[in-house]
Amino acid sequence: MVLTLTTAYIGYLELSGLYIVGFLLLTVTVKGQLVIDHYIGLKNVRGFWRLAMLGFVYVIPGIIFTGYYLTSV
Amino acid sequence: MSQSAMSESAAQPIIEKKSIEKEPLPGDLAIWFVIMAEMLVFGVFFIVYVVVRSNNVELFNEYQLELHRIGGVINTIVLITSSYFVALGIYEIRKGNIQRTGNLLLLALLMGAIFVGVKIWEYSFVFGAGIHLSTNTFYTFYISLTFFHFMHVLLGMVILTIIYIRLRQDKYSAESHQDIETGASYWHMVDLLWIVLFPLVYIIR
Repeated sequence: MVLTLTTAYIGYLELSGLYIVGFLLLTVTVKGQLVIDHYIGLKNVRGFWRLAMLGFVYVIPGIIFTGYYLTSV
Repeated sequence: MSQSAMSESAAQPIIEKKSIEKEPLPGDLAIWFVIMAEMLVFGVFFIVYVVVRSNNVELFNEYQLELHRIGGVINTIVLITSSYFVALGIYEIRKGNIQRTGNLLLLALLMGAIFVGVKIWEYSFVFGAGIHLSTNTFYTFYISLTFFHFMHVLLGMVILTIIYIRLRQDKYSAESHQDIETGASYWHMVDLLWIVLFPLVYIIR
């Protein structure tokens, strides 16, 4: 909830820049991992399925950040 | 090595093995293939968005500011809360609390209905302003991504409603509730997709 409201506040201020993008994508990863581990309940599920789900919240934000980084340089 | 030390060292791996014991995947295995396929499609969609944006930065930044961010924030909070209710529902059904599980599923559905209401309200502004899929590249992505996700929310609500009806017909118990876990996993995926989609389309610039 705090992370979502922080994201909303950044949106309200219309902030931009690589650090802001990095921070916002970090909140995506943190929220995503919380959902995967605690809501879906994959925390103690070993193997492919948990890794694939975590891959989504780590790899996709990583690619998005790379895209924004390449655009900004 | 003394006998007590030997038995201690033999006991150690057993304890470690127990601590990393696997838990079963929640829900039906088939839904996990569906979830993976959906996430792959959305993942590709997100990457294409970033690639296309890199060639139209000014356009994307300009039109992104026209979106109803407050609607997006409300929908994020609503969807995460809904997911939380569903997770609590799973916790309750495992304890055999049918009544509480039903109430939590109803609350989750209510949150889903709020999401749908806010989204329709948001679309009414967009389409009311004469904006459509081919207005510009940004709106092509905004409308396709959010509408595709919106369809998943509707499907998730249908699944939760069916589960709720079956729960009220005493079809589930603490021992037998795989359908609920299956539906819950799908609903959490819908939440997870929105967690990425919202900042990407509405906030990050």
